Amino acid sequence: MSVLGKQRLIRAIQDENPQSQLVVTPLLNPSQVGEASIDVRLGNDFVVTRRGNLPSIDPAGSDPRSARYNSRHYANFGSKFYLHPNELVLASTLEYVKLPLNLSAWVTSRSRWGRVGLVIATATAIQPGFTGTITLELVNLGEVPLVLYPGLLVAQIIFSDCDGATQYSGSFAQQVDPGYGNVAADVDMRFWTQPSN
Amino acid sequence: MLAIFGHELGHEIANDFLQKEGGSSERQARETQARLDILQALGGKPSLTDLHEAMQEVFQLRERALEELISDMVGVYLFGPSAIFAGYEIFMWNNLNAIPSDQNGGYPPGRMRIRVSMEAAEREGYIGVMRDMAADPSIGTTVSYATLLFEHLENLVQDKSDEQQIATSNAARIAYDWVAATLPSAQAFARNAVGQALYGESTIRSEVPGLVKRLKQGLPPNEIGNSIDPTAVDERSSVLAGWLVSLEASQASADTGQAIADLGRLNEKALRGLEYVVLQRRYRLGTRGTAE
Repeated sequence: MSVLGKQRLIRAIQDENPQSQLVVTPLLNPSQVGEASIDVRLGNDFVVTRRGNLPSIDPAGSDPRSARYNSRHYANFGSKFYLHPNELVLASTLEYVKLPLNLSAWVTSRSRWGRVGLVIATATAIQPGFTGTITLELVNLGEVPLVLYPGLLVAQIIFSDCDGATQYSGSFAQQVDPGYGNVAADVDMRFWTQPSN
Repeated sequence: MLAIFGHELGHEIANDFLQKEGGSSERQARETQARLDILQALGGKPSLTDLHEAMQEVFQLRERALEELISDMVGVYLFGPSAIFAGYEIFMWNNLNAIPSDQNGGYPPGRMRIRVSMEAAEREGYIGVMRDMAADPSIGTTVSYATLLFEHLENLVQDKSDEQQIATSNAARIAYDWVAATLPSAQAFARNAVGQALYGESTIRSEVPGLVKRLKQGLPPNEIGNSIDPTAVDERSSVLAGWLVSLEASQASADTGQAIADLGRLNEKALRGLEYVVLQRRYRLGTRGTAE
């Protein structure tokens, strides 16, 4: 299993077979393809938790009202989004990606943003066969608010070979906006969260 | 929804036409004819009040008809088949033969609006290119749902029950006789006003098949080829590809719930593709604003 370098990334993108082609679109600037990663941009949609109304997130009880505790913001290009210290905000990449079955990937901060305290993802794995925009979990670990602008190159995707994968068909497939997952959806959740008799 | 914008833009062109035709000899001759028709319909010697009211009604119905029909044609010239799909989605819920009157805002009957739009689409080769694409083995199944819809619309407009209904109202009959006489010059005016902005049949032929394939592969319809050296496309092709795949998704699935979910995702992807097309163009031009 090796990480794909620039030449292999370009070959994967230029592959004419839709089954094995890597898609990262729109790739507005070819310089986004780096030595062993592809830089991706911040999208326009943000999901902010109104924590004053949310007592907790408990996977033992999937509360349908939890959607009310989130507010969505659309920031146009050129407008500012303030990320306050220790605030968790969901965003998504501007780019829509499609991984062939022979590649998996992970998304991580770009170094220059990491150095000012921006964490862009905590669940970083991207499954083979995934299509959609990638949800970013933005956290400001710094001391002062960070000003973010949609379109900025905040993250990078690193790709590696993958053998024996099956097509990703989870709930995030073909998403175009950021959104919370259902933490209560795991098949054995009841086993782990119910009190013993 | 986007294809409706074409119609709304068309209102500017319609207003321009109505303003410019005011002093033409053709308009004056036809206006005289309409006055004579009104007099005859009122029995030859009406009171001045009755004559004035009848003339006002005829003139208003005629103006409203031309406003809407010209705007519909402009919508077709700007968005191609998408404008017809979008229009039908609205008209199908209403009485297609409603006699235009003050009570319904003076809108021409839906059947007539579809007929005028279909005629414009036929003249511009849009129907032909859809039939050709339906014969393409790689996307034919998808496009065939659109050609089936066109066949349905062709049958629908061959039925002249809207004109029969209009003939039952003196004011509407006189107004629409006048509309029919004006429509060829209105059509030529609209076509000329759209000019270079026309959505060409050749653009559909070269771009839409590739975009349909992208959507079917789960990708937004924003470019053709690979992400590094993409072929840029017209955003109207993204809209049309979205319509074609949506028409298939809405009719091909026996599971209504699944069809609704699929349509929701398709709409999101088509809209995202459209946004990308605009963003990619602005980025190439180096301007993020609206000036292009």
